[in-house]
Amino acid sequence: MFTAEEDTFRRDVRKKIQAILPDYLAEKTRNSIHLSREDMACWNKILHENGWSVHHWPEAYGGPGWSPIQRYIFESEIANADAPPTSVFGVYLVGPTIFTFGSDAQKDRYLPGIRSGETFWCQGYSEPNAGSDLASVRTKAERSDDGWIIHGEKAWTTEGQFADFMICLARTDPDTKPQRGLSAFIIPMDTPGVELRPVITMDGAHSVNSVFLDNVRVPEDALIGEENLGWTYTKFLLNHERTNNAQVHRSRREFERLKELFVDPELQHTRSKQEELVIQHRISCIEVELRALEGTVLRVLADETDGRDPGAKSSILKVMGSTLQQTITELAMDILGESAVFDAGPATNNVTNAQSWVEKHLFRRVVTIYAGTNEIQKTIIARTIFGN
Amino acid sequence: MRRSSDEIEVDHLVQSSATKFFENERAWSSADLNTAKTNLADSWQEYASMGWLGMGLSEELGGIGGDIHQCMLVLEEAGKAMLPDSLLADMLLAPHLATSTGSDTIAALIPDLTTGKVRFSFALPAGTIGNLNLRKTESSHILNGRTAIILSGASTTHWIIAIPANEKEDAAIVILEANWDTAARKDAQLMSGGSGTILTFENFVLPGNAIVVAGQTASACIDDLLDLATAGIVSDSLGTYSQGFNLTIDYLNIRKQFGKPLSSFQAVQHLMADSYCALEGLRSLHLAMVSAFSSASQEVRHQTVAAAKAYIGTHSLPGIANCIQVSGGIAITDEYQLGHIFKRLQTNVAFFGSTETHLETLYAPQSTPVPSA
Repeated sequence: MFTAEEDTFRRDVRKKIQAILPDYLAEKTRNSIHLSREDMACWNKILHENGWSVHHWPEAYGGPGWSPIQRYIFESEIANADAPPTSVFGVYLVGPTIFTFGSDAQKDRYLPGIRSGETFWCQGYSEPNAGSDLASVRTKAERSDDGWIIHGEKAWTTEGQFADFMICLARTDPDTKPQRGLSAFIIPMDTPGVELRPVITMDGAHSVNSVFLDNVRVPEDALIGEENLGWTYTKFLLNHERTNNAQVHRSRREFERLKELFVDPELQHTRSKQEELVIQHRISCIEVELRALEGTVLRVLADETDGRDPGAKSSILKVMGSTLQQTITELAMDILGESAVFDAGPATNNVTNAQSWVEKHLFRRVVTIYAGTNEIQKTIIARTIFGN
Repeated sequence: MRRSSDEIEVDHLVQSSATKFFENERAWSSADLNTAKTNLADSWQEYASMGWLGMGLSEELGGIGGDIHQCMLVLEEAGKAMLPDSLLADMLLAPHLATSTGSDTIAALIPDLTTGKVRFSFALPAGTIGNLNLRKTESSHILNGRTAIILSGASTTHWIIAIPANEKEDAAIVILEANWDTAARKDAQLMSGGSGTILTFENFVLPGNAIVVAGQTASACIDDLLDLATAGIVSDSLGTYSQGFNLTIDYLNIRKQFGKPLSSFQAVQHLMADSYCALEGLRSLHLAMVSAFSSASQEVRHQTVAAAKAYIGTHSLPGIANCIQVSGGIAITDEYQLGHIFKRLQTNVAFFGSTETHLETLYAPQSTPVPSA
């Protein structure tokens, strides 16, 4: 599925990643240990020094000028090398929002820190009563003499504990349709009135938070783009980041590790011949699904390259990709058997192979929920296929 | 190599002319189920005039020089139209045999293939390899054993018979005229409505020019033919599935229950979203499979074919089962097309390796299909 030039590109990228990726970061990623801010910043800095930290941004904003297929290859090599993922919020969410809709001053001020990995961002979209139903956001932003006053509560704020800034969706016009009265703001996390409380997830780790915004004052230029167009900006980004939602490269890498786990001699002797055959069957089924997902991602990228509308097929990537992520760890649990439930405390730096799979398996329950639950996604798909 | 089915203008032309032909000349109707709409020989002459028979052959050999993507597009449209007789042996297998072996036996038949007078079908051994064997004597070759069901066997004029190597004998590919009366022949209607044939040979002495190729070359050629035949079935299934899916979408938008179109109910929407994922999944695997014929090693190609074929069993059949479920009672009647679509897919699943066989092909511990750099 790749041209000779693309294979050469892959070879070059692989060689360079091998040269620049610190072993300890690969080790941590391989073992599913939640990375510290320092870890993520370190890898982001290394990528930045090589011109790769914002590989899918336009060249004008520091991207390397790669085609969608080159980006696909790069992401696949990053995953194969067990390199940490770059921070989703700065690189994938905030950066594109700012360079697409933000002012020149905002671009100058915020994009360099995202590129270099010196600043971290979190996303303030969801609320206790506005998860999948994002249009129900209640956090209010009201004009003050010198800017805006923001008041409300944000939920499920991933990496909030590391973040320097939040991109926050708030209601600026309560009298119009729910989707029309929202605006996007930049809030420095050290602003008075911002309070962050950790939420421990079922894997025992701290990666998400609740964030309380108590009359937080921000200047006029904290508003991104135009007032009341926040919903439009959010939808624009969701439409442009669907291939990332598929997580196809991470799944391919995990699938390879799953197959290694299956042939682990210590586990093999615990299984009957019948179990072996059933697991082999399930492994083959995952292989088929993974190939279907890879092919669909490539088709969407080919459409993007040639300027065609990918239509409804881009909206299936989240459903297919997230379900597959869960299927992989579900099989890992069955391969591990008793080992999965024995000594299953939170992963530390001395994590066992079993613990790292357990960690992944538990946290993976979230992937069919975040970024629009799969039920929401299916409703969106249905709207497209039924032409409603 | 294509990464999208929308990349090349000629592909569009090939596909749209096939769509138009089938819509105008072969529109599916339950009334035609038990009566052949057109005489088979006439049909084949029409396909010849469309340039589909021997389509992949060069113009010097009587083909139109179409590539494998284009052949598969026609097979996809044939699946959409629910064509009872399969074109795959004439479109893909016989041309491949002619170009890859240089055999005089097949070369002599090609002119009649491209005009529709000769119609091929492809026979494999039943079950295990040893079920067909060719024994060499001093003066002749003796064929024994039973074939698997031959797709469109009743309508054929010539059988291409693949005899894989066994412990004692080398592999061979044989072409026999279908009217040869030494082979016991059983014709039957398939679940899909098409025809199938099983041949049983008992000490059948091959005519002198029947062996097209033998030995190592034949083994490699059998692998090629099997992959091509399986790929053709996948193309047919993609067309059949998309027909079933589109039919269901249209129906659900029209059919009202509780005062609202069925398409407005969330439970129905979500099942159809699942069916849509299965449609696009198959389309992606199909594209990768067809591309692999022109750009990948035999082993990689074999795996991409296996993945696509397995998907029909694991996802396409359940996807059409969803369509039947949300359509309700109408979908299980004989006059509605959806049941026939399900039966065609079920038939396709049975040909050229079961779902389990193809899944087994894909089972490769610790191997990675990521292209090596």
